[in-house]
Amino acid sequence: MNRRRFLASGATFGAALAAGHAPALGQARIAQQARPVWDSWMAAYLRSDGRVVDTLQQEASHSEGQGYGMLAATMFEDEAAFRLMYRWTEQQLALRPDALLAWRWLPGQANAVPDRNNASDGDLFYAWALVRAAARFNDRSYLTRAAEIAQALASSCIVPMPGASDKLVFLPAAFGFRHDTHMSVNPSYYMPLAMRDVAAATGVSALAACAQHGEVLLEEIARDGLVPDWVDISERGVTVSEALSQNAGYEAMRVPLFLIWSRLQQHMAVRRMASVYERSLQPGREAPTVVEPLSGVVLETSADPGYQALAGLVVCSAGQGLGALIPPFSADQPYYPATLQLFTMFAATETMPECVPL
Amino acid sequence: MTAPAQHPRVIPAIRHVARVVPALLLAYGLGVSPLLAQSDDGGLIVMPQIEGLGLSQGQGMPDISVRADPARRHAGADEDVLRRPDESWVSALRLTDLHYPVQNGTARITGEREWVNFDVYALANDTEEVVQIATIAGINNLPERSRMRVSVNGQELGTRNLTHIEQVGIDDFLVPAGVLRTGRNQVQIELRQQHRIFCGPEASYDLWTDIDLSRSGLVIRNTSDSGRLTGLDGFMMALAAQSSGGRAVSIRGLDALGSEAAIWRDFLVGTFNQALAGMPLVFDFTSYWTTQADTREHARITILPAAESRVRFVIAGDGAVVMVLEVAQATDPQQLLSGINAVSVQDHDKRPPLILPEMDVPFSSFGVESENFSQRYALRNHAFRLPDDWLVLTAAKARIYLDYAYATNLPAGSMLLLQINGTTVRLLPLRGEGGAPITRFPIDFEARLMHPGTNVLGFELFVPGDPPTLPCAANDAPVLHISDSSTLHVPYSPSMSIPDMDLAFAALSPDSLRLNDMSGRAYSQMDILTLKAALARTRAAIRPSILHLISLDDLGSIPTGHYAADRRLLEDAVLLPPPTDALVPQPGMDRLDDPFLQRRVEQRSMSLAFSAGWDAVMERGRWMFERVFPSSGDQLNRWLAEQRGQAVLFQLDATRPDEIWMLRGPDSDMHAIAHAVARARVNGGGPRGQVTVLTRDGNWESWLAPDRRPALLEPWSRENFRAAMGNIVSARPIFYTILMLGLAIISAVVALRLVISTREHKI
Repeated sequence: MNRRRFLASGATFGAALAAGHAPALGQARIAQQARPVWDSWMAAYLRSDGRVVDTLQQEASHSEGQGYGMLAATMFEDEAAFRLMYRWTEQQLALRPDALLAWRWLPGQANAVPDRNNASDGDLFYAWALVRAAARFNDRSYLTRAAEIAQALASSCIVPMPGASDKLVFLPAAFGFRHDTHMSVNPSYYMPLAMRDVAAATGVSALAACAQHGEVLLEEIARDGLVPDWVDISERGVTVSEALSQNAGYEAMRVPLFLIWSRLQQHMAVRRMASVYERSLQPGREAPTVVEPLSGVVLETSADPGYQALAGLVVCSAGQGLGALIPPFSADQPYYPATLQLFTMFAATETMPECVPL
Repeated sequence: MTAPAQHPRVIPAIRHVARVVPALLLAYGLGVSPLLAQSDDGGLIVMPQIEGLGLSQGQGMPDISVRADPARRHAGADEDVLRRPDESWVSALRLTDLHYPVQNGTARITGEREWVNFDVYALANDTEEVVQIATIAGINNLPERSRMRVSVNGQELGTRNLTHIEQVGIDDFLVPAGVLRTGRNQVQIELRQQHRIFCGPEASYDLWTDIDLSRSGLVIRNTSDSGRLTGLDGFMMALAAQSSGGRAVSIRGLDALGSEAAIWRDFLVGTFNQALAGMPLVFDFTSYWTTQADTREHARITILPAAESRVRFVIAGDGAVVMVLEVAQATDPQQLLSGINAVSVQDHDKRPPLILPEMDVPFSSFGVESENFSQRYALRNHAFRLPDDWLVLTAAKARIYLDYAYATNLPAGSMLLLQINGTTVRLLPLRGEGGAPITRFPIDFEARLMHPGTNVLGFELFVPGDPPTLPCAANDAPVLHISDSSTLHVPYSPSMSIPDMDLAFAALSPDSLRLNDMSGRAYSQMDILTLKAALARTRAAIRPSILHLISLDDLGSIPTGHYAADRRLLEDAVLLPPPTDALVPQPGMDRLDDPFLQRRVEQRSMSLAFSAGWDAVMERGRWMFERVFPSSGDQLNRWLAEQRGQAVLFQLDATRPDEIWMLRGPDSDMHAIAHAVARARVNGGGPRGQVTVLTRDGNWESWLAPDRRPALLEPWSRENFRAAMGNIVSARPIFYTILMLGLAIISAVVALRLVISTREHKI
């Protein structure tokens, strides 16, 4: 079954297509039909004050989680939840003199934000959520704030690539990842669709350029194996990280997800990961979470449905059939896989509607 | 990007070296050494820049070791174990004997000795399998002498004592290789239960064992069987597991079919209810993106719009066995699933066996098997069917020739009751001639106790305890044997009919449901599907009928014919709770407890006595009038006033014999109603007459209008005249008696007048 025919066949059902199978309309449909999923996510991870809690990390909150949550709120057209998270984030994490956010907030401590460094992926998703919210909720003030963040990211976290000054690199933070000999880069911080959307909405073209260079960078890395959690970039080129995780683990699993979301299903990084999942993923069993990048040996697995959902989408993106091995959403899992499961749903809805859960 | 391209092989080379580097230590080193960080221009970043962020001393140290820790996303091993999928599940037993009560997925088996039949779906295997039975027995059961014997496809697997008293316990039975076949298998559990204190029929009522159907069945190991489940038989196993305990089966993506969704919905509900025995399946229609249910899903159906139609089976991401229907536009559901044999009508779809009149029909031909009874109490009901146009209202006799035998020296009071449709037609004392077979013992009964459609022949055995105050002796010797060579003779009937909802009820199908604008107030979409599921159990073999679903606000739409049914009484029947003895004074009770009664009686005046006498005469007159002209609705209203239930069925308009109207109570359980409907259509004892109330304990109480008029469906002839006229007269005997008397009087008057007139002297 050619998956292109899914849309075509959906069109033959007329109303069905209009109801949910066209990507443009899919979001409106998902906001209605998948509302229980969103309610379940909020009940588990969103506090009443607007704080998104990472239950696995000492109940901490991160700019990443706030950005993820606010983006999800725009997808579900939940303005109230969005405003709640926005207000908390601005009050608790917007502590830096620049427009960026402190990366972590720790509950129960006299100083809840001991480290005021930022996390560029959190800032990026925060800005992306604001861009989407400006359109979804018809409030241009969000766009102003997004533009400030985009500018700050461009000035603090987008730097020329060592040995290739015409290329840009997306640093994980404003501080701490640039060393004497190299830079530490997290490939999963690249979210091309978010970068381009924010660039288009704010006029900060460096983000769009960085997205383009990032896609090439990921292609280069994936040429030899799976994209790892961290890489070092130096004058000598891109190498595995000497200090940080070299495996394709919990960080890197976002790479194929974000590429699929960015309509780059044929990207080498996606294909690499898909081949591993196709070989090792067993329906209803634990999904691979940490993989040795070169051999593809699975080092860790998890029963969390979020990881299974992500793997199911990646496999579906490489296949020819209809439907994906994506389990139902469960809030009985940590924040991170649960949120990845939300993102899997968004990515599938926007770019691969044929990859619905079977 | 030039630099990376120049060193493409650097990554693998360094990776090997880097594996020996303790990543966390280095990460920590990076984290605590901000001096190693560089500014954009490559220079060292010094901390005053951070101070420039407005941080107090000691704050704001970039700590990338935490952020880069690969373990920070990883759940603890203990937490992960909790979320691991179960290693095994059961292809659950499907109870095929619907007369056993089932509640929340638990079947209650009452009595001393019962054989309970189930279906279980399996895949043939060349290795041993395990069937597990989850039970809990009542406190009155004596575990040492209470046991269950399990057999599969006729092969006995073993016997276990019923030792689980306080909580549900599981007993495993090994199934030898080769016993199970792919698809449906028959499981029979014989339960022997004995009272720990008493003996006799009363003690028998207190004996029960609950079988937890959702936890009883064939054990499926995920590790070994998952690959074999991706087929129809695996799906049917999972479907049985999913639907046990009344859990809904999800159908995903039906809305994607647009205008064809309703066709597919009805087809799937009907098909799978016909394919799977036991309680009606409940379906839940969901979108593709769902939240996980409290308990793991074992099976579901997912529909995908496609250019070409096909069916496939997959194990989904959550481990459920999924029937994936890829559906192209204008696909005929029947055609798409036609190649799948198991999704077809099964035995339970059969209506009760048909018996033809005017011949001795052996019991064996309508499903009554020879049985040895060794218990103190037993009730056996056997449904059979008479032709839809069979009707006897006269005193014509039907006859049973009973072949039976009973033991000698049974306790006094031992008896066998023969019942037709719940009415005892003969009491056979089991005393005196025991020890020898009794053949062709004639038992005549009034054939009018039977009616067209489904009837029930019942045997009820009573053998008192000897003594009743001690446990029964351990003795499995039979006390009664009833042979399947016994026969039933049903007398001739001309082709006739009489207004009765029984036939229309038997002919209901999923397509029979009719809704109006107000039906939605009383019936949700899920209620309707649940009802359709029950109606899908038996196919309409006769003319199609209609079931109107009405709400309390729409009682006016019920055609009542010439019966003046009181609307308030109709509402009360489903709105009010059943009366309790404590709240309803018993007749005469007030007189016994009233010390002033005698004085009041003495003070009663003569006028009051006269008034009471007049009332009695009037009451008697009304009674007579109603029997001569029984069209008054007073009888119906008096009957309705005493009824309480969860649903009421009406067929008051004799001109619309194929239509039934259904009213349900606001707090009624549609699953219970659906189960009662399915059970009645298979086992009989369902709605009859013009109005039927489904009581809260699942029984049907029917009201038969006294003025029903039979109609002959064939031409009058010399052969049928006597029987047909007998039926017509028997329907309203007093009316016709008075009518004939009136005609006779008029004839006599006319004759007298004629005689007188002819003898008058004419000038």
